[in-house]
Amino acid sequence: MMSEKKKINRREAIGAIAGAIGGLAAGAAIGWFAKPPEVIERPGATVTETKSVTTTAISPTTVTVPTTTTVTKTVTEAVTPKITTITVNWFPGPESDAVTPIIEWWNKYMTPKTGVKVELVLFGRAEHFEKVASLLLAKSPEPDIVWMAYTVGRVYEHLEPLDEWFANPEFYPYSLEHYVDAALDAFRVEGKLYGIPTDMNTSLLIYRKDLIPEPPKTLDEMIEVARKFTKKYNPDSPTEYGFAIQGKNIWFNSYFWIDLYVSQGGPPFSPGKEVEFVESLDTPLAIKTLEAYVNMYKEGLSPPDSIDYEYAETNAALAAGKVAMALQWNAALGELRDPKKAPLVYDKIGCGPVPGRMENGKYIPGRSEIHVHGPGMNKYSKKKEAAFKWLAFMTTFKFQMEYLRNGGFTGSNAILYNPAARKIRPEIVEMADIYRDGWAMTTHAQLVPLHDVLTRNINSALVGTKTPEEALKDAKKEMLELLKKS
Amino acid sequence: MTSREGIVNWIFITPVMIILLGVTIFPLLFAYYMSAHDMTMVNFWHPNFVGLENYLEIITTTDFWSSLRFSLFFMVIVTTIETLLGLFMAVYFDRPLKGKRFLISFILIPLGIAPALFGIMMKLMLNEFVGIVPFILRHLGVTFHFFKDFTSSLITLIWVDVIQWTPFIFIVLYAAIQALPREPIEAAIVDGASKWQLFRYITLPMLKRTLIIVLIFRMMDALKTFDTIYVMTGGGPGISTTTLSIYIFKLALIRGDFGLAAAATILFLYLATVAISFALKRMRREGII
Repeated sequence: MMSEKKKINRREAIGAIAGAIGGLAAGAAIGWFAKPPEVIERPGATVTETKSVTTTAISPTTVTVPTTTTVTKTVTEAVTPKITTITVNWFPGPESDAVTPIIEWWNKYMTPKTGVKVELVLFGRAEHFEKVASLLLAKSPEPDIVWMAYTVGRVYEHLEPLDEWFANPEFYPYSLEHYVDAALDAFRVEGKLYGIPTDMNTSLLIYRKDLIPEPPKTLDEMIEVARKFTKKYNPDSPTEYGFAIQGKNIWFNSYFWIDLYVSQGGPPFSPGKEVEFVESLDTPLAIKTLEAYVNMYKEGLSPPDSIDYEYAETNAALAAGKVAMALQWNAALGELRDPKKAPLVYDKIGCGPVPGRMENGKYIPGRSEIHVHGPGMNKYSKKKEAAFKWLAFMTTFKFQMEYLRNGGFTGSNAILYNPAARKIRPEIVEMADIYRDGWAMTTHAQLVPLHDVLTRNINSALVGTKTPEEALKDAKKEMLELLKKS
Repeated sequence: MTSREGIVNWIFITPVMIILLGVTIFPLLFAYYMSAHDMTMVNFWHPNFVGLENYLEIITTTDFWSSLRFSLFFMVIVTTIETLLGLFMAVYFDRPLKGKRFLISFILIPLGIAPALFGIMMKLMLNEFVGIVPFILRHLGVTFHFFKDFTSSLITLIWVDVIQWTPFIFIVLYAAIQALPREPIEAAIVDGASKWQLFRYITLPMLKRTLIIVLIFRMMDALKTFDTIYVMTGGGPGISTTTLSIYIFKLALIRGDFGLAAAATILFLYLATVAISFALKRMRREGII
């Protein structure tokens, strides 16, 4: 009796749950088909306005006759154009903080004029480029604008080339002429432009200007200064170490060594010159430059743990006042000059170009690579015209000044040499020439693996598992294989 | 079973089947497909068939073998230390102690932190200029550089893994000890067994099943360690602390070679399958499953 009752209950329960699921599914289906149509923003409607005007006509016979005139006014022109909403993907963090107020301004004042409304789309900072790559590979039409970087060479086939759009006067105003050449080159793949360099980056020699009045001009000079400010060699040194090498085995750390090498006369690792650069890696000049770098670490001029340093650790060492100099990204300057973030050194931080060389008695200053971040157009976007209107706006002086005011930094001469811009960001004065003289880092599809191979080998030389010569020979071999494969 | 029940059963099973197909079967089949093609980000939609070339390239690469060697080495070391330490703690806590609940909660804190975040936290704590650990060590007259070379990096990574995962072994074994029948222990005490004899001949044999399960879980997890090591050393110095997971990640997302990464993943899967088969056999022999 009991078991029969239980059986019935279970059946009933199963039936009820299945019924509920079925009901939900049916409800969802009805809801889907019965949903109201999406509200589409339309142009201004035609308005018919009827106005009665009573006038008093004065006849020559001084007889007053009241007459009534009816005026019909038909407004046939649209008051506002059709609004197209585009999705704009930006890099979350300081970059998106800088663009958000501009988007708000655009949506308030420019949307009615241009018919383009901008919606900001952000992904996580750490996995941003992987997410963008996945969306592009999946041929997703959104976001219409994607935030790209120097790794553009990997996904350029999924991006819209911008040259033809910029050649079309229909979308004016825009301008590309004022950009630093290297900034535009750093967004070109096989000669075609795939992005707007709204954010330009480079590496600098950051030094303690209270200890070192003038930044060292050559590599030898830099090593000497580093020795002078290392306690091991000068017990009176106010800093423990003279230099901080960014030695961690993380692919972009090779940039610092490359900057030193190019500044000593090596060929730049620029777009189209990848093979030339890689072929030069086992030359005496390359080996000598790496030996100098490795010796700085071995001689204790750089902290022992700097084998595991990247951006944050190098900044921490400088901010703690323990290190006198470092090759570091330009972004560090803002942090190190912030009294809240670097209370010990904020007013003692100077910056200069990467040490250069003497050639036939003549000083040749160092040159840093330039790499850029910025928006590109999704090839699969269904709103390319609207998307380009926004891209074109980003090349204007107005955008760049506002972006600068909000914390961004555009790769443009119009900003670098503008007195108003220099008032907003005084460090531009120190950095303008470094940017102007910079060279564009390669945008090769294999950029990341190429750097990864070089960094790994430099790291091996630093820890002593390979000699500098072996490290560079191995790097050359692997890098050539990668270039050949692609 | 009536036909109505059969339909109801299918209604319940179908969503799970679809999810399973989507997240397990399809990715697995797609991984096989990728491993037989020279697929990269550039030619993702039109890769060339290369047969077993990717597999051959992987097994002839020294980096694959060195990362496998390091993964196994790391797994054995951390699992051994964590098991011994967790067991010791579980036995130690199996007695009335003042503030026991607070202590247990405190010990479990690292378990609640995401491994990548834990790695970043530890890296900051170990920073030679701003870290609390070197600061305390300096005051004690000890100088230790945590990332100076392979040995120091390895010690640091093991130490960090032990801090994070020993609590897992501890809490499982502690719960198991609490659930053990008290009669055999009390009988042994009456018979005059020493504390060591109690542990060796009564507690440990009764804990054996739980211990095997927890060991297998921990070993599988340690074998695929990624986050902590990646944020702390990036697999360096050189490639000395590169685990197989980091190696595969770099192949796919640094090198952008999905074909090679898929081949390495499938090889890894087979290696793990051998280990899991061995573990399952052992579990069956012990009557656990």
